[in-house]
Amino acid sequence: MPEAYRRQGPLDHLHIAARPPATAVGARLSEKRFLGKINLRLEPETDALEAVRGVVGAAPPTAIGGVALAEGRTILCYGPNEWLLVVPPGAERALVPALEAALGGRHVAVTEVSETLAVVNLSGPDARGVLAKGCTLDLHPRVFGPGRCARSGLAKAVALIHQLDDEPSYDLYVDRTFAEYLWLWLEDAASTMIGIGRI
Amino acid sequence: MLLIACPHCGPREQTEFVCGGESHIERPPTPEALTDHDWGQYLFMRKNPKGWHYERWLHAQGCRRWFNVARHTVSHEVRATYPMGQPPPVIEG
Repeated sequence: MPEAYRRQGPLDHLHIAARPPATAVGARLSEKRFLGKINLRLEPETDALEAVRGVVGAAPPTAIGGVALAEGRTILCYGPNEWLLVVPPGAERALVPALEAALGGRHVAVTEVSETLAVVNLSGPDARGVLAKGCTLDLHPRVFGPGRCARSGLAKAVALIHQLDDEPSYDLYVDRTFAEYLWLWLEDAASTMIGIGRI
Repeated sequence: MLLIACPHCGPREQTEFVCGGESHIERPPTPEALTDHDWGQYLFMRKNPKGWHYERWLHAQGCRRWFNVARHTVSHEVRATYPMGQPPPVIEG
């Protein structure tokens, strides 16, 4: 991790605060800066899940697309033995050694990926329609609702999409190098939404 | 456009996947005993059937796992998807 005064977010150069907000449309964009992110790889059949629960406060969900929440921490399952653990900024520094100690000796991988992924929040009544412009997932509430996540193509990037609530509000985890592209694409997609696709 | 049912993630659009060619190719157990012709057969020669074809696919934009697909090379129908390590299903016709 770089020194605090030199740390730059993946979207800083866009000067988001100075950009005109898309107030006329029902979709808002914001960046969630510097969240701690930890990639977890382990075999779900083992007692490693219990060991993670002891440290994090929630056991990683074993169903792909499942989400577990505990005290500001989020565990997203997006592969048969792969999870993304998202924690408030800075919390990853204590959590990684704690996880490594609790999982010691097992065939697991705990990798801090905080700087790898940018997090963009998209919310508002038109958020679903904006996402649907660039994503082939079925986002209808009966299929994809709050507490679900999926990794899929979004525009020409790849994003891990996590629906937070019914508004709807989505957290989009995208590779840092795609963050600018995805932000500009979302701005453009939202600017032409006129309430179509609302459910 | 194909709809491919990833064994882990469920049905997804073809654009999320990468095709890795023919599957169920076994490395010869004693490569040092092989003739150049047999080694060439193993390395380069692939089936090109008109009909059911067993392929490896990678869910690159989803779970990033390799799995097998039984696809018809004429109709593009995907009859079966199954995880790595499983024997190919028997398909009639």
